[in-house]
Amino acid sequence: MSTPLPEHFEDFAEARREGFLRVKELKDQGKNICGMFCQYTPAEIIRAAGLYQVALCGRSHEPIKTAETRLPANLCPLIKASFGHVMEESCPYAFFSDIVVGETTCDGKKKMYELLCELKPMQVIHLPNVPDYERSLEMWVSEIRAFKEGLEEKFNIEITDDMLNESIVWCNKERAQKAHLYELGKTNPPAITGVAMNDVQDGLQFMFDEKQKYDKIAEIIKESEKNWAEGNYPVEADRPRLIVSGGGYAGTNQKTINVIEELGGSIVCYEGCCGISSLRRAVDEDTSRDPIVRIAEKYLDVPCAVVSPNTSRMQQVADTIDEWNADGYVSITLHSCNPFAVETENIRRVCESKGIPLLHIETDFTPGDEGQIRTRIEAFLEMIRMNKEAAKHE
Amino acid sequence: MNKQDLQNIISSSHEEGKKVAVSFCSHVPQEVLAAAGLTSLRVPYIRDVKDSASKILIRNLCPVVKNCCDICEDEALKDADLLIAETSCDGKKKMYELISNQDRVYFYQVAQGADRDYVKPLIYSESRHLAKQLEKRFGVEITDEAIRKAGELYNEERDSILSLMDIQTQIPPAAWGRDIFKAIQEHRMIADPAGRAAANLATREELLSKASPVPKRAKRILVTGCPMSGVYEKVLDAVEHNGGVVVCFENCEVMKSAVRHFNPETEDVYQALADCYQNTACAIMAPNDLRFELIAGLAETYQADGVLDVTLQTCHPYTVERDKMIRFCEDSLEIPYMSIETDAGDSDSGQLATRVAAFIEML
Repeated sequence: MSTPLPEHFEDFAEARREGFLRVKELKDQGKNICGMFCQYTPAEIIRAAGLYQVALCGRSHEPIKTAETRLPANLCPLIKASFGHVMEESCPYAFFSDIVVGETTCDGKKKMYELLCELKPMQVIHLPNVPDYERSLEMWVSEIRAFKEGLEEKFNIEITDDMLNESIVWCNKERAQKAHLYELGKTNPPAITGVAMNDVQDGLQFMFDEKQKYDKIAEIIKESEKNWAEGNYPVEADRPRLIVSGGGYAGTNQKTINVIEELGGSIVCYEGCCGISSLRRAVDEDTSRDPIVRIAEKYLDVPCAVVSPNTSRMQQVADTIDEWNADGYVSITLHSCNPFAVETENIRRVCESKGIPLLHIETDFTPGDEGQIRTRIEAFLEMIRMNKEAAKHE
Repeated sequence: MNKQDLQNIISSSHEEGKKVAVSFCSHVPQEVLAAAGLTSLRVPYIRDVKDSASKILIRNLCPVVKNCCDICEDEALKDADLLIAETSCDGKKKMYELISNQDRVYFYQVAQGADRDYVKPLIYSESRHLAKQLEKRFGVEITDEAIRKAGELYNEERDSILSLMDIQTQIPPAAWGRDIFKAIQEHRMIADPAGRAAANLATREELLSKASPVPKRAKRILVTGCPMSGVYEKVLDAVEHNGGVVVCFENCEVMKSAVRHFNPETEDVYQALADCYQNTACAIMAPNDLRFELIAGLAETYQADGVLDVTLQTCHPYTVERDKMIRFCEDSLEIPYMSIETDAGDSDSGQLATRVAAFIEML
């Protein structure tokens, strides 16, 4: 049934491993590396500062033991792993980061940064908590401006409006392309598997030549569309179509998203942290306005779980379900992740109103719950198949 | 407080023609609510409300967040006119979004850092926004004078807590910490700040009129950390039945709120609110330098022999801040430090008592 993957997929799956060497090369060339944790960090400014951005979100359970000597055990594994890596110097990306940017998306990270800044040079950006221009734009602009000025001072550079404008245009272009990748999932059967989508998006974070990156994705999109048009589908039609959502679950892929597709589900789109959320919102390119304000506006529109009330996320969940014609929704949250886990209840209500089921998987980076998760996914897919079958006969 | 008390306050306020606003956090500028002519209740932990949290919320969540959820959904609160949902910690912030009847939920944005330029302007603009919304919602006018007057009233309440706590500076301290904390909790069911202030001062006089029940050798403990109204009995018993006495409470119910001061001389009342509420030594602030300064000062004033950090399960702000607090107490202040993590159940009472007893013995 399955056709060979476009050859470039492998490049992305390898990217994280090979990225270590590339970061070292960049360092040897005298470039500066900026470690970050979150889509909410304004990429435009990091890029305009000439820094290479790399994600430091931990995804291994190994450094957690070390982290727990300083952090409470009952804390999200991503926070513990990220901090543990820095304590142990066991993550080359963190090790080579000249500066680490922390955004206050959740209590755990926000407070962890207070300890991290004793080990690494850091800049912390405080995020708004109420998604309202009238109430939050001013403080958010002041935080982004402080961030820009902090980078200028640290690296002894000047970030001009022209540089920001150039960055804005490029980052918009990248985002539109990434959104396009998710849009490949809209057809039945989808033109790309959910696992492949994820490999690409994830691998991107560890590739540093932006032009090369862009061209590779363009080829993947082209090839996938061509294959589909010729009837070479990556999976069969009418699989249960799922949207996967949540935050920071890259360390759980093996037992979550991979298993969903292995058991016959199709992940047609991702919503949430690394999903469609931030990709479809572009920064206004009107150069007559202050670029910092325009950047602030875009990020304030990100329906991240840090803001309350997060009504725009609920709207987006409903829209994504409609647009991708989803049969079910899977929310993957990490243990002790209060924002995403509590918000899942609101998403469940949206799914209910749309008449589709929600599966909430709460997990961490250890393998202990693999079997249990597999069984729950199996039952969930079975239920969807029965629903679909019943709908056919109505 | 129990739910009957809460219901009584709400219904008697309504009989007087006053609307009722309910809040759960010391970041909420009470002056603005009072100036709108509302009865404003900062509600503590209430035990006898109906369970809703187990149906709506994840299990691994702080007991205060779960209790706030239960209170908001309980019939006792069905007649309350406004719920102030402050964006302090993640758990509460997201929980408020799940409360039914969102029309009466108002989100108040809390600034999150002691060292940032945006903090004062944000408290300023958020207080103003709250005032405007209240005017619109309840058809009232909030004058500067009303806010100033409310500020003075709340100053009286804050001062009354300071002077009640102050009796513990004596050697031996004038009372058991538990009696002081319990009194402050009970006074929270008095609907107006002047009434609460008078009650706090009356407790002070009453406790001072008797000889101190505390033995001189009792070790002097400074309690710090999370809101404690749901766990204070077992925690304070663990200290005070095992050779210790609590001399001061650095938490929301007591010192964190009381050390703030509204300056009625400030021309712009919203500026006065920003100056006042910025001084909240809460762990959602990052960094939270104020808490460290406050503890240093209190440890000295109250001649503390040890610091007990009381944290609630899954309270990330306080449990993550613990690493800094340990180092601060042990290395900078050179005061023995112990932390406990607990929840609203009783199952850990025995274990708490054993651990706290061992700590006190070591002092």
